[in-house]
Amino acid sequence: MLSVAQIGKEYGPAGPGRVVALAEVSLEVKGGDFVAIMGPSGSGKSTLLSILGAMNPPTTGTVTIDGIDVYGLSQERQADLRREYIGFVFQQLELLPYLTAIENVMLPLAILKMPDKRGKALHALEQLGLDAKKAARLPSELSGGEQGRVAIARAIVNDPPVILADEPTGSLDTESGQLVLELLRELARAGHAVVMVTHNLESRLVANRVINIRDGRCTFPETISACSAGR
Amino acid sequence: MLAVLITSVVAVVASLYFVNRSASGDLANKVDEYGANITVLPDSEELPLTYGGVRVGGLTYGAHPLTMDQVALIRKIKNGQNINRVAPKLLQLVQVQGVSLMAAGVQWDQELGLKKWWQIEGRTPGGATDVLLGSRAAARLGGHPGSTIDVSGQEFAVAGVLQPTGSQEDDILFLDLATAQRLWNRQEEVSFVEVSAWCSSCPIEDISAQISTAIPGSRVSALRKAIESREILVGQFRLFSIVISTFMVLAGCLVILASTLGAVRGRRGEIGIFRAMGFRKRHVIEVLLLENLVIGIAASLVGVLLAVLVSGPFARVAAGVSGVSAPRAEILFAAIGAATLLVLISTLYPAWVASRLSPLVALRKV
Repeated sequence: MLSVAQIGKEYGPAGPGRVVALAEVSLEVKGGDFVAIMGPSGSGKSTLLSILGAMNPPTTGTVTIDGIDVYGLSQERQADLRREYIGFVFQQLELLPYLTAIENVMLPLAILKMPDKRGKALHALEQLGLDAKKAARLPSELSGGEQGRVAIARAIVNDPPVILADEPTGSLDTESGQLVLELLRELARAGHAVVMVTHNLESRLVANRVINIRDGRCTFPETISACSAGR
Repeated sequence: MLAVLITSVVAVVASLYFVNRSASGDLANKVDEYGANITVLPDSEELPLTYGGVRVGGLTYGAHPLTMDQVALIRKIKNGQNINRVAPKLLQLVQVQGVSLMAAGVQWDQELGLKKWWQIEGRTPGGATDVLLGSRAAARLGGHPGSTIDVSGQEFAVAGVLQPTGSQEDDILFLDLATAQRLWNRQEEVSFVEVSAWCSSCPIEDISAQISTAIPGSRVSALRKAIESREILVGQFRLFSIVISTFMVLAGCLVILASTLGAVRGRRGEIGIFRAMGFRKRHVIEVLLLENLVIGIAASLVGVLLAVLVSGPFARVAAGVSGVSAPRAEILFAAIGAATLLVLISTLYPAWVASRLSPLVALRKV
């Protein structure tokens, strides 16, 4: 599904000032995987997520989604690929405050020619436990957990095989954060490939794979069974 | 906020445009009202009496005087609404207190409305037994405001004396036309007619041609000097108006462009999210253009309506325009359309800048 081979990312001019954000990272994510990428701030985990999300070309290495070389595509085709293959859950959830919940969920469908976009958005919200009444509310009128559900509904509304989540619990209280993690795990169980960047230690308990990054390098991969054994 | 700003810009630019337009039209009308720009003479044959380079006068013959009925036809031409003043005159050589001078029967209201530059010492004449003396005629007769003179056996009150004009009018005695026709036994007769026409909506040549058709056997002449003076003055003001309008439109566009650019900067995260969701560059451009199209139509509607409300009083107070008329419906629609179009044009660059934003902005927002 999602394959990363020996990618590296460097910034700045050549020489001693050159910053190595990522080096020799390889990763395979299949449908049903829930991968947590962990590490301290500045370790390179958000850079890795942006590279996986077809938004930030690596300096070296390749990224393929469903066999497609992501960075061999033009920028516009990369946009198409993001639309068809990837759903994003952003750090602050990033719901547009002037749109209702259902309008936020309809955003990825806005540029698609398809019938009954509203029905599809409502179906996604209902899958996540939000009814039509809640769907008609502005984000500010919803609880943190409900906002998290709306953000996830927006990520899955066009049924992408890959879900990328950037610190999705960062702005939520513990209970709402826990709910969001559960929902992401449900998505993985439903066959989506879920990759989540987090430095929340609790997150490793719901992921079935944990990748630790420090100074741009993978320090260890960890399976859910090993993690469970350690609990 | 952007909508309020665009509304303000449209209102200001449209107001200034309407004021400018009113002032331009007002100036043209005032120029047209200042004296006659067409003369109507009876058709006649003229024989110059010259021999050996010595001119001993001229002979006019075959002239059929104009009549009051013909004068009335002038206001009934196709462009009759463009006729401002019709000032018929009856000329006669008279002896007054032993002095020969030219007398002109005039309709006081038309004549005084036409000769706006006349400065009268005394009171404004208006009655059937009033006379107005040119400055040199007054000096020759020894007349002064309040005095009386005898013309063709009837006593008249000298209502006023004209300040010197430097023209033939200084030598003329003016009296009421109907009185003159009766006094000289020339009922219904008119020597010539001076016409003042508003030429903003109809060329003076067209009006002259229409009068000529209405009064067969007359010689209708557009006064070339008056036309040229008008064209120079109005043309210069029009050019000035175009320059000012262009500057205002450009300034308005720049303000809208700068504010939309500012709005785009403020929405970097949001646009980054669109891009992360798979919006192509053209989709981002379409979104921003569509947004500003809606804002532009609403802001243009409100702005132009505000301009209509404000421009009239503003034109009267600030520009001293006397004849302010509300813009016609087609001008309003054109203004709304043009304002919306300019909003869209001003949005193109900010939309292009927005479309180039990287989707990474969404991830780096915090």
